[in-house]
Amino acid sequence: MGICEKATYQNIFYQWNESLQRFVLSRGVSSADSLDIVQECFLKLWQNCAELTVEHAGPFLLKVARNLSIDQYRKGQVRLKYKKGISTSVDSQDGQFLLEESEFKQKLERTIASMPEKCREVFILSRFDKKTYKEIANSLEISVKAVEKRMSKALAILAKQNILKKR
Amino acid sequence: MDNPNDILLSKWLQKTISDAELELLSQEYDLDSLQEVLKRQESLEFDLAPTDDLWSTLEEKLTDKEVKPERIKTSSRGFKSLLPLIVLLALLLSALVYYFMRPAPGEININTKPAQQVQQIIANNTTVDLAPGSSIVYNEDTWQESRVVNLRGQAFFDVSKGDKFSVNTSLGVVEVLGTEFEVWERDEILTVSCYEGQVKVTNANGQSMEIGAGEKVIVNNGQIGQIEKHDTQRPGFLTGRVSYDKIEFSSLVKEIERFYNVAVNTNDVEMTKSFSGILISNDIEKGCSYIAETLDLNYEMGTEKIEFYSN
Repeated sequence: MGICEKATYQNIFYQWNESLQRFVLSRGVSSADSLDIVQECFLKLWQNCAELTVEHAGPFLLKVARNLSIDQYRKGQVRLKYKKGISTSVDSQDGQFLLEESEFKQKLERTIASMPEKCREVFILSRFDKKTYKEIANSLEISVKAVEKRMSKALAILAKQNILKKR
Repeated sequence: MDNPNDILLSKWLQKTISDAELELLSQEYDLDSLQEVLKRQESLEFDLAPTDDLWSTLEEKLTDKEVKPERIKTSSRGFKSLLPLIVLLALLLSALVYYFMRPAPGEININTKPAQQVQQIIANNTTVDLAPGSSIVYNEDTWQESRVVNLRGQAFFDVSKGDKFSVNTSLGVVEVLGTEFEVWERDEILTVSCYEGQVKVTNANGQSMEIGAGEKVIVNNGQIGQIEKHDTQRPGFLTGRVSYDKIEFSSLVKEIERFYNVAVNTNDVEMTKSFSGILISNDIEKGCSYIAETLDLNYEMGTEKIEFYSN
């Protein structure tokens, strides 16, 4: 049941594709470049399938993604968008509300971009990928305690930004 | 530099926080606002491409000859070795070394101290990068007849095409032919990583194995291991990122001392703790904080001393 089996490989792809896209995008890589990088990660996984076990696939993919998305691709910008079908409270969808929403989004984007790399990785894996601390620890090959520390640091940065405060 | 309160925010998020801790935390942070921010964050997402589409594109590529698993590595062998340009410095150093220590006529003996790295040209554009705390001995006068380098420690060899010679270590012999490779001999373990061309590794019992570019082999207590893959272009000590796979903390301490030229006190830390990760050999502060975080330790840094404590 190795990764060289197409079905296993495809499972890993479906399990990790979105996480990997977020991981690369959160480093400020453009959408177009991010797809190249994600594809390259999976091709490398395929090439190395004989040496890796299924549980090592995630850490391997994240490591390759980290290496590939350095410098030349990094624009320092993080772009988020609202999920489809989400409307907060319907009666408040007026101009003022939408303005606030877009301001909130921008501030959050900037805050995420400003986080130290290690904190940001944990924050994205936890808050966007919805992974448990245990899963994050395994993916990044660090201890759960280290995950908790990094997550706390990320939350502290978020709290100190006062994103909700009006200027 | 570490306090038990630095994980309170994640405990709060996990709802495993005690009342007393919550009290403490709410003095420092506006937790209601943070809760609201996190709630609104959940309605946001990155701009993701559809997984099914990406799979179709990827699936087509998998059948390409180029990306078949376990392909034979022919591409890297074609690269002609880029001959290093840092000749002046090495010449200067070797002249110094040559002047100060030459016990036998023509014998060159180079030692690196902790935190010191040296590049030496042996012959015909063949260079050796010697890692900290290592030594090589060879004879320049008799080089044409006996091409042997004795190595203790760790070094990277970039051999010009057609140059053939052997590297002797206490744990085995490495024979080379126009290639780039790293030899790492420490505590009964000899690691040879080949970056270009081919090398032949022979242990003390005369058993041998040939490895090619992108491969490495470990000789542990005289036993030659399986050929493993490595995906690095250059050895870690030349790029400032030395990687380790499951070494004991006691061995890691020796490496820290060798690369940073400091004394290490391990206090109450368990010496058999296993470490997998990197040593940032060109930045002591980053390096120590990375190690402490990975192993969940506390540390204090003095001028020539590092103290580690368990957490």
